[in-house]
Amino acid sequence: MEHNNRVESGLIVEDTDENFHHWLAKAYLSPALRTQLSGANVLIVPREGYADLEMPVFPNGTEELLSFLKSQNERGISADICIEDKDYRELTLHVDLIILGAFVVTSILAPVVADLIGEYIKRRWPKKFEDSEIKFEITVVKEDGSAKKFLYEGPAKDIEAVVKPALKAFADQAPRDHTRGSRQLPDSNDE
Amino acid sequence: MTNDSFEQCRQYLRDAPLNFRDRHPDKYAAALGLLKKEAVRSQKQDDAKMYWCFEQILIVQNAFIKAFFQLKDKQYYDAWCTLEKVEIGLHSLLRHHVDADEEYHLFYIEKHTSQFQSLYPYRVFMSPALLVHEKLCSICQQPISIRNPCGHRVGEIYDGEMCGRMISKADILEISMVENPVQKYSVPFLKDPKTNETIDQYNYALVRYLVERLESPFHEWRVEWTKIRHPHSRFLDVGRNQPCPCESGKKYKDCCLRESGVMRPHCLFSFSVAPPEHLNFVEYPT
Repeated sequence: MEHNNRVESGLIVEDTDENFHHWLAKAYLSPALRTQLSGANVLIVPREGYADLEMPVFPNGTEELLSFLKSQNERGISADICIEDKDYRELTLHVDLIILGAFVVTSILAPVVADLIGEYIKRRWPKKFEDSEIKFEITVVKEDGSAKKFLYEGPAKDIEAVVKPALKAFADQAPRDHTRGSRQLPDSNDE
Repeated sequence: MTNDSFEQCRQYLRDAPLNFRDRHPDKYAAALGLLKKEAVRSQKQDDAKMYWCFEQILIVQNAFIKAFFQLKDKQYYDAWCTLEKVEIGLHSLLRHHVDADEEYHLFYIEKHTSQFQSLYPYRVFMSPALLVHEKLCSICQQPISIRNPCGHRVGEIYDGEMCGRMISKADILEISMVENPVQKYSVPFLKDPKTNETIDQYNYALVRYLVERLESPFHEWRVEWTKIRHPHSRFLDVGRNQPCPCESGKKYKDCCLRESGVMRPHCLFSFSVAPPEHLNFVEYPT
């Protein structure tokens, strides 16, 4: 069902079925954590299958990004990460590109998350913001569980002009009467 | 330790363009270290952070001056690594200290470090990918927990020390060749198969040309890249039917051979202080 659609330079939009439900069904999550994650409206998700690794991995610095997102409660953000503490592993790719990894967010919060990414980079790399290249994926999930994945690789300063309008356009198509999106705990046979 | 000694440290840092030939950084590092220790003991965190900033300014200035003299001594790779230390030091420092009045020459150092780096011939670097199993907090030495963090934030200053992460368990997954590495020191060199000695195969003509004409690391200079026609006499080894040396993709005879010379990149240096008289000559015939 996937097809690629290049919207703007550096931004690719894909249909995807990797919504909250998809990630909460992962076998490496315990039932307790699965319950905890069902309350999140911004979920940092891992990269799977990198270099034939069996374990899911996160980009270097995810710990700091999660901490930043968790401090944004007042903006309606309830952030979490899709991994058990003991299984958390980081992948350090030594290229001068800021790799933020992948997020799954509810549609109504997608533009807020785009703003937060810009703020995070300004705060973390204040001298580099103007000429930094960044890479991330945001999967925006509608209330009915349908989703689109926005993959961006380009100048950090272009998030506002390139990524945010695309996220907002998609978010505006979504119902506005909730902030959590449609998520339910997966059936046990999903494991 | 008094305010007077702190003022002496500051004056020393302001005077870097005057004292760069005869630096005694250990004396000032020790003075700042004592001031910081006392601030930590008194739980004056803001003061401890301020003294850390001045320690960093000292480190950055020293590294920049050291790189300059390494370049003078034709230790080009060593200078490259030292310039990277300048860059890293500035990155840590400028998050906490804004030298708005250019009192300590930090903007100058940042700009000229980047300019020096731009003249190097290094284009491809080795880059390892690591799978990190465990990291420790440099402040509390605790393993990093994604769900129960120690609370120390990377880059912040605690008790006069910057918080970082130390990798304690990791696997190297692969080594790639990249053009934009995080670690600039990872330059690939050849090895002599017989002696196993490292061979520096790079051409440092540009950086050598520049540094020979500078007498101080604090003499401002600029570099500008343009294109000019170079005389055909420099391309006598290129046949008429071979690709044009201007890299247009056309044959030489169908491209620059019809012109007064071959269009090639040209590097133009401007100096705030005139280079020594004996170096003011034209290197190539025109």
